[in-house]
Amino acid sequence: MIKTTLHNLLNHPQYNSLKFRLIISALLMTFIILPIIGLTLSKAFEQQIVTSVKKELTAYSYSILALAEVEDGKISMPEQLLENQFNVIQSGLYAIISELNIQSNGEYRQLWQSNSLLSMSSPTISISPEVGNHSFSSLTIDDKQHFIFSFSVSFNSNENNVPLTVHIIKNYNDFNGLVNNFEQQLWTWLLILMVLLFLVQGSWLVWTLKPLRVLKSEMMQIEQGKLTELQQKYPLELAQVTQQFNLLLRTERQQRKRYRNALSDLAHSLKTPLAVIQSQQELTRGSNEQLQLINNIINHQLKRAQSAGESAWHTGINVKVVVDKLITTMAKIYFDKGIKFHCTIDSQANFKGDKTDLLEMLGNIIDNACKACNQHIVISVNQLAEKLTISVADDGVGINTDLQINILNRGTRSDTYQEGHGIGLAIVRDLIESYQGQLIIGNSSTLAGAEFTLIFNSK
Amino acid sequence: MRLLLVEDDLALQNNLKESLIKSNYSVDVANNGQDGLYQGEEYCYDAAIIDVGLPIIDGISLIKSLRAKNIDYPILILTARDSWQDKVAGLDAGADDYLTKPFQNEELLARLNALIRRSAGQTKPILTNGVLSINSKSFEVTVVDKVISLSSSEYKVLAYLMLHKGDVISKSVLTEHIYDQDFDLDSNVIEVFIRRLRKKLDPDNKFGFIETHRGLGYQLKIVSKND
Repeated sequence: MIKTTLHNLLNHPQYNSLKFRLIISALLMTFIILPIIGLTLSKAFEQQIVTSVKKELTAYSYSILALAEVEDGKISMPEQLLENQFNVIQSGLYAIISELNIQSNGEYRQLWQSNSLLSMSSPTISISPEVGNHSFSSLTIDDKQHFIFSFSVSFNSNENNVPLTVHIIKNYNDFNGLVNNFEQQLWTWLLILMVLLFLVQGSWLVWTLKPLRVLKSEMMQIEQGKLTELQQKYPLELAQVTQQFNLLLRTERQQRKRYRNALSDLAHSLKTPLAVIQSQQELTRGSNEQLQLINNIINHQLKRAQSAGESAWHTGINVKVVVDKLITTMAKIYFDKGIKFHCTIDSQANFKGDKTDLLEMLGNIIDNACKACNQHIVISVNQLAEKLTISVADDGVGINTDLQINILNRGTRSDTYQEGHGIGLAIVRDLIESYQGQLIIGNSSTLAGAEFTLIFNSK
Repeated sequence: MRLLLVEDDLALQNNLKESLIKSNYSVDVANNGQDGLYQGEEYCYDAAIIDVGLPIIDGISLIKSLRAKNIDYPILILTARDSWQDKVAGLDAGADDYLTKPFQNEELLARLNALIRRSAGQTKPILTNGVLSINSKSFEVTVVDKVISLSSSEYKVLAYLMLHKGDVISKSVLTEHIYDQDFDLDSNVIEVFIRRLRKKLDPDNKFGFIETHRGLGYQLKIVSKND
C-alpha cells in the first residue's frame, strides 16, 4: 500500500522531482532510521545491565549460602553479614531464605531474612525453583520494582535433606540510574547527530542539485533567446546529455540554415531569368501578368517551405530587437514619407519561434502599415502571462470588411491574392497558423486606419 | 548621373544597362563582387545597383566593404531573396533601398531616381530653381513654363548642376559624373555643353543661370521663383 501511495505521489507533477525524492530520503534517514538506531542501542544496553545485575545477585546468593548453617532442620546465620548492604536497613539489597515446600496458605515459610529488610513489609514470594535451579524475575515491594534472584539448594543435616531457597532482592535504583543516564546521553548525542545530519544532507542536497538548477536556468535562457546553447561545465552524469543537446541545437540550426540557403539559391536561380524576361521592354500586358503570377507562386511556396513553425523546439526571440531592426529598415525604405513610429514595447517580450518567421510576419505587417499610413504608426508589444500580443495600427484609410474576411478565409488559396495588403498578408496568415497563433484585423480605435493584432501562446 | 551596376547575369545586366542609358544615366557594369568593389572604390558614382547573389564577393559583403571605406552614394540592392530577413540584412549592411526580382523597369527607375534625389537632399521629383525646372521622371526641362529640348549629355550636365545647385562643380567632376568609364573625353567638351545649355535655357542672357568661376568650375545660382 505504501508503495502504491508513493507511486501515486511521485506521479503528481508537483512531487515528481528529484528534489522531492532526495528530501524524502533525507527525512527518512534523519527522523526514522536514527531513532530506530537509538531505540535498539537503548534496549541492548538495558539487556546488558540486567545481565550484570543477575550476575551480581548470583554472587550474593553464593555468599549467603556459604554462611548458612543448618542444624536439626534449623538454619542459623551470623548476626552481621560481610556485605554491609544486607545489614543496613532499607539499603535496597535484601536476602531471604525460605523453605522450598509450599505451605497450606499458599506461601513459603520464611526461615531467615537479612537486617536490611527490618521495618519493611515482608514481601510475598511465590517463586521457588527446583533444587539446583535458579530463577530471575521482578517483584514489587512497597510499590517499588525489585529484581529477585532465587536459588534452591538442599542442605544435609543429620541424614535429612533440608531443601530451601535463597532469595536475593535488589531494588531498581542503580539500574534505573544507569539506564536513565545512558538514555539521556544517547538521545542528546542522537539529537545533535540528527541536526548535524540534517544540515549536512541539506547542503549536500543543494550541492548535488546545483548543476540541475544551472541547467534549468540555462534552458530558460535558451528559450528566451539569451543563449544559443548550454555553456556551463556539467558533471559527468549530465555532460553527455548536455553535449548531445548542444549538438542537437547546433545541427538543427545548421540544417535550417542549409535548407534556407538552398531555397534562397533556388529562388535566385528561378527569379533572375524572370527578371531578364521582365526587363525586356516589348512584353505584352498578358505576359507581364503571367510573370507576376509565377513570381507570386514561387514566393509563396518558398516562404511556406522555409517556415519553421512546425519545428518542435523553439528558442526565444526578443521581439523588441526585431521590431527595432524593422523600424530602422522601414525608415530607410519610406524615407520620403517621414513616417513617425510610436512604440510601446515590453523589452522582455519573447517570441517562441524562429527569427526569420517573426521578421517575415512583422516585416509584412509593418510594411503594409507604412504603405497605408499617412504619417503615424503605433506599434505595441505586450507579454501578459502566457500570451504575446503584437499590434500594429496606422492612420491610413483602414481596411474594408470584404478584404478582412477574404484574408481570414482559410479556404482561399493565399498565393492567388492580388498585390498590396493581399500577398504579404497571405504569408503572414499562414505563418501565424503554423504557430497556432491568431490574427485579428480591425480598425484602430486611436488612429483612423487599420489595426493588425497578432496573438501567440508564449508557453 | 553615373551609375555602377553590379550584376552577374549578363542578359539582365544588358537589359538593365540599355534601359538605364535610355533614362539619361551613364552606366558602368561589373560582373562580380570583386570588380564591383574595385570600381565602386575607384570612381565617383551617383548611385550603385548591386545584386545580392554575386560571385567571388557576395552583394551584402560588397556593400559592407564600400560603406566601411566611407563611400556614401546611395545603393539599391536587387535580390531574389525577398524574405524580410534578407531585406533587413541588406539595409543593415548599408544599402538604402531594395528591389526584389523580378521587377518592372519603371519601378527600378523610380526607386533609383528617388534615391539620387534623396542623397542630394531633394525629395520631390521635379527640381526647381526659380523659373527653371526639370522633371527627373519625364526628363522635361522648362523655363518660365516653356519646354526646352535638350540632348542627353546636356540634360545630364543640367541635372547634375540642379541636384547640386549653389555648389561650384569642377569640369573634371562633371565629366566623371556624366560619362561612364568607356569614354575618354577631354574635359573641354564640358565647356561646349555649358555654352549650349546657356544658349538654350537663357538665349537673351536674362536669368544668368550658370556662372563660370575661372579655374574652379561652374555654379548653378540659387534663385527664388520671384527673381
